[in-house]
Amino acid sequence: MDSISDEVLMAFADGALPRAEHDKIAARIAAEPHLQARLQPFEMTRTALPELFNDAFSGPIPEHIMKTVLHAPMATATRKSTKSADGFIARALEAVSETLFAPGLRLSHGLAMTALIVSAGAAGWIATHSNAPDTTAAGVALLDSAMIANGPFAATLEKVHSVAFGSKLENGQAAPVLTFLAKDGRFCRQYEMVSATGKNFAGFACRQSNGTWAVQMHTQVANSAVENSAGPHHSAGSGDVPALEAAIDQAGDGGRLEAADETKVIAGGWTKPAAE
Amino acid sequence: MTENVRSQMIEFLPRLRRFAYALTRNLDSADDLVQDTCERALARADQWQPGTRLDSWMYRIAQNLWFDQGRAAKVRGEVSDLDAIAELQGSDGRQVTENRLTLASVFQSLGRLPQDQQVLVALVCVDGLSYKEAADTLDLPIGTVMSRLARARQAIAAAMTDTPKPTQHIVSGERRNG
Repeated sequence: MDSISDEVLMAFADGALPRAEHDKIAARIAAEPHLQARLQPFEMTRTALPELFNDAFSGPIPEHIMKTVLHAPMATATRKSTKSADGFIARALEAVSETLFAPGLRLSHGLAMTALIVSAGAAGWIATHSNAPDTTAAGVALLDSAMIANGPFAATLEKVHSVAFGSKLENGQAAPVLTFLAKDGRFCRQYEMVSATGKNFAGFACRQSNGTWAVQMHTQVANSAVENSAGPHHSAGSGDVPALEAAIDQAGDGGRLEAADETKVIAGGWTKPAAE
Repeated sequence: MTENVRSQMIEFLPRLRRFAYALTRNLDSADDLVQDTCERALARADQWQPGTRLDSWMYRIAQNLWFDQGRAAKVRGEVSDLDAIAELQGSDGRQVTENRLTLASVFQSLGRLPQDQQVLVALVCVDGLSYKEAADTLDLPIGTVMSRLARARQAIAAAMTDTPKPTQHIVSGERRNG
């Protein structure tokens, strides 16, 4: 009888043989115990090795590696395009959110952005305009001058009606609490969110002409602040976060959209009322 | 185009880290290697042919860095990050112990293999590339890939089979020898 090489047995274990040959080898193995013994090392390494190494790397990608990938100098053969920088960041965030988490960890109403922040351990401003406090919290540098909402968070800002301040949110959920027209003519929405790990955040984002929501300010809120903020006297700007309130006051033209107007604007895809 | 490289790279990072870990068998060294690989890949991004596989190209970079910098030599003799592994694997004590023992024996046997075999194990057994993909990545004939890989896996399996049962304090006894 022909001898079967180690390589063929390995390919058999890995399911890498053509069907006809696979069946032929299977029959031989079934009939010859010494082949079963020779097959065993290949089957063993096929199943055990991926498991061992997968287990080792369920954690997030370290921040310094993310920074390198996003910011390290890059040789280019073609001319640079800066036009789609926003698009890049949005895609990068999307990819980041996927890479940061172990398989199996779901963000039910997941926020790539919050996820990113929490994973990076940032606790302060994620705000990104030149007048933002000079913060070096992790996760901020990653985002530079534009942070675009994506995934479910973007959909939330785009479609969901405002809820009361301090409404109870599940982990991994976000909700708008206020809609206003900024001085620069953009619609902006203040939001509250709870990260996958139960930390509270608040901030506001403005809708850009390309339909994306650019986060203007994003800050972690002490857990009690949001929970206690449901009082009837609570006003626009979330008094528990003075800096956020101040920023919104500065950005806004003073008015907030009433519920009916908000509904109209959402339904109309965020086009401005003709009368104004 | 340029931004596309970065976002592809981000998607590839988890695989690259696992690959680097299979080579270095030390979490910190693995992340150093990943970091260096990304830096070099970006610095030479003009040499990458769009339309070809970025992962293969970066694996080659990582492999060459690993060869060049003698990380293997530095790490060889240590039994690496068993504590870190235990932490990552959670709180089922027995499972952890068994995994640590298995991991220890796999690490040791991997470390004894020639470097080119270690790379193949990392590419095929850990990352899951086909023989053909591994051959393309390393620019080797597929027959060479298969024969090296078969030898490597026999050696690893032999080490795993010899693993003592987790009633002994093998891991703590060996860990600080490096």
